[in-house]
Amino acid sequence: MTLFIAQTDGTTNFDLTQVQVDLLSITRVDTGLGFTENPTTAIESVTTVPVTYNRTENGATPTRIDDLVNDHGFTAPPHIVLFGVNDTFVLSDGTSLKGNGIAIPVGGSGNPFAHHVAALYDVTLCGGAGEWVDKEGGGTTQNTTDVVLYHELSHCFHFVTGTTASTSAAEEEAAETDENDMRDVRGLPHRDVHSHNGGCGGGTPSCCIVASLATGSPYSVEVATFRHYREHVLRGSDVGDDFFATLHHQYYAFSPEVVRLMGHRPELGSTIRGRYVMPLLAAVEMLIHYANERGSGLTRLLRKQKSRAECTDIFAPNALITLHSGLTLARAFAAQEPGSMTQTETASLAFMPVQKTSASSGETGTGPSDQMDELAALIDARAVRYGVLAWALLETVQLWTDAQLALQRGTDELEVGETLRATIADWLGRMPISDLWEEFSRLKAMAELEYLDQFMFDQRARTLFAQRLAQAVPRHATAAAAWAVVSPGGHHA
Amino acid sequence: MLEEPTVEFRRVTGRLTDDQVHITVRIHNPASRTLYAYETPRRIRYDAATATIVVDLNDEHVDADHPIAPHLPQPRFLALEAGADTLLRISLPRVLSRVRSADERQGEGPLVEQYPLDQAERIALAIAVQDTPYYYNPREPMATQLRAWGAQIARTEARINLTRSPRTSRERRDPGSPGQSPE
Repeated sequence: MTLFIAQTDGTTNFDLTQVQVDLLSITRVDTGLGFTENPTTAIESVTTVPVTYNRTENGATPTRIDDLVNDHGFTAPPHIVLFGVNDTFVLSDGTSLKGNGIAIPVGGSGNPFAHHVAALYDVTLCGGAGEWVDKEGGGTTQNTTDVVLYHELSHCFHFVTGTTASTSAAEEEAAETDENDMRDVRGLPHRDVHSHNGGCGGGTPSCCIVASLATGSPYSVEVATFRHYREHVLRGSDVGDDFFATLHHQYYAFSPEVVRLMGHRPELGSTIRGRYVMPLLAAVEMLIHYANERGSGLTRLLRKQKSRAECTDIFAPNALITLHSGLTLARAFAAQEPGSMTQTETASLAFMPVQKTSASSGETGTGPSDQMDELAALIDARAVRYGVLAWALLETVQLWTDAQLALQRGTDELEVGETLRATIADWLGRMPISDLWEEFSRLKAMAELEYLDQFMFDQRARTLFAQRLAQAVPRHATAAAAWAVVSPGGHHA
Repeated sequence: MLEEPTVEFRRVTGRLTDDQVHITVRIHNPASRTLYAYETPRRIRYDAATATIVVDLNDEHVDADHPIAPHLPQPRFLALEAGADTLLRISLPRVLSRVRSADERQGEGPLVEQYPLDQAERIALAIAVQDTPYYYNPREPMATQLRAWGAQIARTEARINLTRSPRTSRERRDPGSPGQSPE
């Protein structure tokens, strides 16, 4: 008999009942499950209740409890003692157990037992606030106490059977895979076993504060697109990860202030959404399509975007022209081209509401508000002049806007597609070069270059980027040149 | 990345409710950009000799071998507006239950030690601060990321007067104003 539930240490009582309820749930309310409360068993001065089990239910979760209680498949293991604790408990070093479960092997740091496995879990689920984890397929899902206990029992099973995975990440993945069996029993969505993210409360947006506010939700389709782009493209390599870190740092130099302005003037949200976030999301979609389809079908996608209800603002009369003008000027300032308007005026133009920017149609506007001026000044000071930010956020929108304008003006679709592919290739070839390249060995540099194949398949992009890399880090010139001449295959006009 | 914790602690106050100790910290961010701070207590200790609560709002102590490392939950973060004061509010249990280790217990004695945090006269806080928000990256263990993110830790220690007085109208408007300043 292996499994015990802690009842009391003589001064402190543990939540025996909740652990019993959770075990019942894990066994699918199997009547064969029993708890021997009289007599109890003392384990290293802790009063415990032994668990007994004559299994009558089938399935992975009852079978796991059967194995643990009746020692199937292993001999003379240490006991496993389960503790239902509340959110006031801490480990011996003071580490809070709030919103957590933990299984500690014999000899493990913080184990209160010298010879047995201890599993402690917060049965209050963060003092009632709930717990979230990343869900398979994106988003988050909630934890329940039986799911948390089953997860910890998976670790315990590995400890006592000597089947603990060789790395912490692999062990966690194994426990989360087991946990999904329990989620099936409860009818809960599966956890993403490749992510070990979680916490107290209802979930963390973890992405794109301005886009979340502008689109109304951190879980909107638009924000999910951003998040996917970040996790699956930007962070797929060391260079991409570093690029994201720089972009992140530059972006957060101004985005919290944008949010503050949106707080003062809620209607600014719709302006930002229509003027920038939606065009950016459409541009990101276009670039992902470019990578996935090797440059094919771009104009078809642009046409499809135009027909979407959520894109109405972008295609309002003069909206694209206004956006195009603002971006062109902003890029000119970013490149420090002389002449014309101040930077603030430039940024202001790009972000002015449609009804106030219809000079070309002869209408007059009342001019931007104080908040709009402040927004424009912010974007001028903290966005336009940052290289990575300008390349990643301004230039992408410009690529997209130029192509949509060309279609709007009736330019031949084949020509629009070919021009767009060429400008995307040029844009990719001008991707900012991270300082990390300096640190890379030749082998590592080749691996990073090969990672770029997934979107830098066009010969024009490869040649330009290789030239720039060779210039920036001369010792990678040979690797870059070798990479540039191998074409992984892309769209050919 | 932030090279040093630039925040200033202006006031630390505490008050009691039925089951909790509420600490309010007024933090000033003198920088020109928003900073982000841990809002979740990660490690709570009590020094009975000096009646001091020691609260870590950081994961500096969680190395790869720490039992919590594989399950480290994501903390909550507080945005500290540029050039302004922000109130950080944390809630602690009135009585902390500390699970003693096997080395301490030597196989006998209570498994749990109780600490009366509501008797505290002082509080020491160590808060991780950074100039970008934390985002989880599935490529790396959470503990590694959080330690790196929270490498800059701002510290303060202050006297607290944990009385259970009803809140005054001034406290309701600004719970950070009465009480003791950090030393």
